[in-house]
Amino acid sequence: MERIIGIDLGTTNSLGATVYEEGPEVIEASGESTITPSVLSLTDKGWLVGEEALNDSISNPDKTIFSVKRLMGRSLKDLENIINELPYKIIEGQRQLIKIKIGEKEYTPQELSAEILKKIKMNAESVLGETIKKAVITVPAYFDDAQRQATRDAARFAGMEVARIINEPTAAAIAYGLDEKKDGYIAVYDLGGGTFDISILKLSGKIFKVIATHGNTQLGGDDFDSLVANEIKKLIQKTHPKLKLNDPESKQILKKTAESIKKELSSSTETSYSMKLPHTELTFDGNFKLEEFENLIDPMIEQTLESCSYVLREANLAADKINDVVLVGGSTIIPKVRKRIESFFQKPPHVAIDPYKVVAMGAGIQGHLLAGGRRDFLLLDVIPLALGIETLGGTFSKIITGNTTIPAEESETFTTNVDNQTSIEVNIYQGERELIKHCRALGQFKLRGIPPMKSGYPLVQVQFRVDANGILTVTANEKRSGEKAEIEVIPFHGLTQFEIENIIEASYENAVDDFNQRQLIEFCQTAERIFRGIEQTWEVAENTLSKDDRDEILKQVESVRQSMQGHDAQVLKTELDVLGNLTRPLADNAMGKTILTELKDNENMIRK
Amino acid sequence: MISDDIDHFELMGLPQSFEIDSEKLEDLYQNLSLEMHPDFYGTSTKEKKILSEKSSVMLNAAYSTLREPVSRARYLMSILTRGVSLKKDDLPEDFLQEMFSLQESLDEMLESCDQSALCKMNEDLLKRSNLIQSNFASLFKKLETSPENTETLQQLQKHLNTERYLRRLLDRINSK
Repeated sequence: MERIIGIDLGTTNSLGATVYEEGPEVIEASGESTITPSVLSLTDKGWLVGEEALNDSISNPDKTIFSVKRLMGRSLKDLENIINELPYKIIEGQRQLIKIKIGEKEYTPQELSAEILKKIKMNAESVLGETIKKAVITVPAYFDDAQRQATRDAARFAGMEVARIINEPTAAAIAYGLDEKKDGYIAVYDLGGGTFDISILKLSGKIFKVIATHGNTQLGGDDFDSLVANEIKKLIQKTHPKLKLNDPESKQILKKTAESIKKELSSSTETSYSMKLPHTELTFDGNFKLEEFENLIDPMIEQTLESCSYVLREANLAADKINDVVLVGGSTIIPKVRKRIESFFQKPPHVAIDPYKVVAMGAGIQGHLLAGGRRDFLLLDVIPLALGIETLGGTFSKIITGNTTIPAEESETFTTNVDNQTSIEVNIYQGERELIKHCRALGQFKLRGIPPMKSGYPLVQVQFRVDANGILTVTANEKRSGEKAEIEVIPFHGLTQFEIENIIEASYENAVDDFNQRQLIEFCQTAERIFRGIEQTWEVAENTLSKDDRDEILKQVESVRQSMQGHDAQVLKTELDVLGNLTRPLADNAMGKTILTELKDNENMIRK
Repeated sequence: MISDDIDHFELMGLPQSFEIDSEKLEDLYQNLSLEMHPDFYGTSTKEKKILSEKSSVMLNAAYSTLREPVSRARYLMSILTRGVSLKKDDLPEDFLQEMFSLQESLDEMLESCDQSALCKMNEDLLKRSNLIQSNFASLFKKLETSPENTETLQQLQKHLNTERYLRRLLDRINSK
């Protein structure tokens, strides 16, 4: 059976999960924390992803990229509200496709997201010892078609096929529901770093059916951080009116301080902070009260509860009909958020599964099902927003309504306005509002090759099909002549087939080099860890090893250092192998836990 | 699995009637989903994958059409009126004028975001819609004994037309 892993590709954190013989579990790499921060930074040796990039973020602020997920499938206009808070530069290209400018180079959000996916893939491959080709990737339920397509393209760039895109709250419900096996209505409240979703599911027997879903793809814990960062900024400027604090480094430091304040206030009523002000010799000290924090974020919590009311109306249910409330996403740790949810649904939320892990685990379970590993449950999901077209006067005419169970298909017939017209252009939109200006433009399709006839005579039937991933495909045929009309769909905010192929081709060309770069970075990190291990146990070495042996170790450390300056990962690996063999007696003798793990790490590396 | 032109009732294995056992519909839908859904054909041949996707599309369409009384009534009407000539746009007297003035007051309410008035209108419209729906069962029952009864068909058509106008207003209130 070919394994299909589950990936929670989050705004702030990402992680993979799979089903082991003992059951579903997140994929844990040795010596690394399970959760990979969704952060990347560009260094002269290539991309750093996760923890390393996060550590690099203060010293390399204009080349560190956070929250890529918020950019996926979006245009500059969509980002109006958050663009000032982003420490990196965004430019808009053709068809409203945005790119992130780092140094002289430009990257699409899809390519950057792919780097995070590659990291998860590599972790999984080294832990599981097998090549990973397929994955189930989760997205916020309220992601529209463009955002889903972008996620799928990112996976392709990372060298994986998306076996299924599933909604985050649904994934959480699977993990939770299969654990509890209780029939009834489940509400999944998912407040992550950058997005908010609320979904109502009905669990009956083997079937998880999504009844209704609603949300906001631009609201999350990051916004709480921004509010706090803004408050601190105002305080600092009161004392130091001359400081602008608008440069990338200041933004990054403010962001980090805000994050730690938020974390502290989850378990205390007041916290103090101290931050170094960049480009000055100054430090700023202050206090932040829980009450102050709660007042700041309350309007945003209120917004999430309005979505909850909306979704209950859609599902035709009263709040007390919900049997269980499941919390997902890091921001649900905040006590105020929990309190307000509890009073809204009139019952304490369920917190048995780690809200950080539950989505990835659900995706892993779904992957196991798709790979043919089990067939004892079925997920029936919906499209979050209606799909339709622009009609006369800028009105939006729905073709597939929101909350329709997928896969689904509807068709619509089009005709010509002028005699002998051979092509028709139609704009596709997604949303729930009356006018297209309030909906999202997904793209345009052009029908060509319509046989020349009198106006109004041709009947072109266009099929809109939403597959089980929630992704739309459009096909067409002319009914009178029976000819298949040509259809070309031009996506807005997304990549065309041609662009996708170009990026993939370019990545093949760079693949060998990329791989070498990546390995080089990883081996350098391993080497640093081993150096630390040797340092920490040197006292033991002096008692147990002969001077010759110790000298040889020191000499080898030097050789490794030299190869670290070079550009060949294989050379460095060979030198590391030698060092590994020389230090083995140290590992046997030293009882220090650190060196044992560091050296074991080294062996894993070498085995790879 | 399923042929292209099968009707929704046939697909679900239910008799062609307005009155349906909704619990049975739910069970049938779940069981058929467990047979057909693309998730269970991830490792199958391409042909089987396409077939399962196509069948699931049809199953979802049948289920969602039959579940709601109004869409079920519309669907059943489309079958029963094949080859029958009816006045397609029949409406109660003065109905259009009334709708026109309702549209106008709705425009104003939406403009001024008058929540309480919107709520009230929503309630009134729902009541009217439910009242119309309460006629469906008996009228369709009549048709079962005399299927050629154009008068009954015409009555149903009128109710459905009326309901469509009310629905449009309701959609406008709720899409805000």
